[in-house]
Amino acid sequence: MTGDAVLDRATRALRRHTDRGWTLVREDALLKALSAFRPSAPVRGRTGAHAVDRTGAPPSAVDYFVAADVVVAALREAVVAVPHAAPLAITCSTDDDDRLATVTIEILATFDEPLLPLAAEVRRAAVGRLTTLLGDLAPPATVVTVDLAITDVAPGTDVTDGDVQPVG
Amino acid sequence: MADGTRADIVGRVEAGGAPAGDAGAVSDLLLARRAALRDPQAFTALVDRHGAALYRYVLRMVLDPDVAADCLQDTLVAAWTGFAGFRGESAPRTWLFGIATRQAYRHRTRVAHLPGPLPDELVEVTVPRPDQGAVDSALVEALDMALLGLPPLQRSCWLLREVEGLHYAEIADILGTTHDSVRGLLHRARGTLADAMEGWR
Repeated sequence: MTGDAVLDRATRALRRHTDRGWTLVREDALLKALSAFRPSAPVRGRTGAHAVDRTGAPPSAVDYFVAADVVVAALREAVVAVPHAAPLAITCSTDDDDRLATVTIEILATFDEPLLPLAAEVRRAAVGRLTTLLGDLAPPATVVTVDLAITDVAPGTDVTDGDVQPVG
Repeated sequence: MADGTRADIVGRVEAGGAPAGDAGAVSDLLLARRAALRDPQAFTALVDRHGAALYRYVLRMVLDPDVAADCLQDTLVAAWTGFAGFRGESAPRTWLFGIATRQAYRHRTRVAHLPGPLPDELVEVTVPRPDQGAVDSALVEALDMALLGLPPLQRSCWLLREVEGLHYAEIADILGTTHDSVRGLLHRARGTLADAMEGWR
């Protein structure tokens, strides 16, 4: 065999090759990556404003902060739980007091699924999750718009990785 | 945007595809978008698709298993924490190899101070899979030895093209060079490797 022929064969062998080191480091490397801290902006939440003390004492509100990263992850989970919808993009912004001001969720919808009811369901799920997360400072749907931009429609009975077709 | 908002985006990330749990059916791009929305299952699926190749690449760039492990870990950390900035301008696989390349060059400065014969350590970890023949195993070992004779840039270029299958333009982007430069680097690398493998039987 010529040097080129040997090299070609060795290259094919290397493409098929899996180093033992990968199997040894995979789990640890993944764990450390997934636990890595990702800095993100604070979003203000508030709890206790409507709490009723058994002694009749006046309620006291307590403010706290949630990382924007956590807010986005919670919204993703809420949207994923809605049948026939999957999140494409989630955009949030806060006001000068770190209160969540806008939330925009773009979703991928199953083909032929009625979009308006689906959008309403996603909006309800998002607002519900934000209420759980941010308490009294969760943005009400009437004040902060939760826009649902239907950017793609996936054919099939569920949202999959098929060819997507823009609808407008 | 309403008045009074400071209008700074606190979270702009993208995801997509089916709900988590059926990652095998979705593309790299959709897995990357889900990972950007902090979906650990999607990230794990993406790593399981490309982790072995990333390790194969960084090991042959840094030439030390311990350093390769650190390099791979730093690559995954950078990917997980950086997915929010991934815009899909390149394929996720290419994006990951770009991060791995930067980490490999960063870690190479560590390797330069490590004592000991590198070839033996490299060969030690190139254990074949059960379905690989002894000839393939020997070929990989011989190729690993030949790769040691390449300058880092040529080695990176050759591995990304011939083993990992990236396009010239993607490699040029990763290495911060031009398409023609990649072509030249590959030509020289192939010649050196073919000469080194000439005596193998």
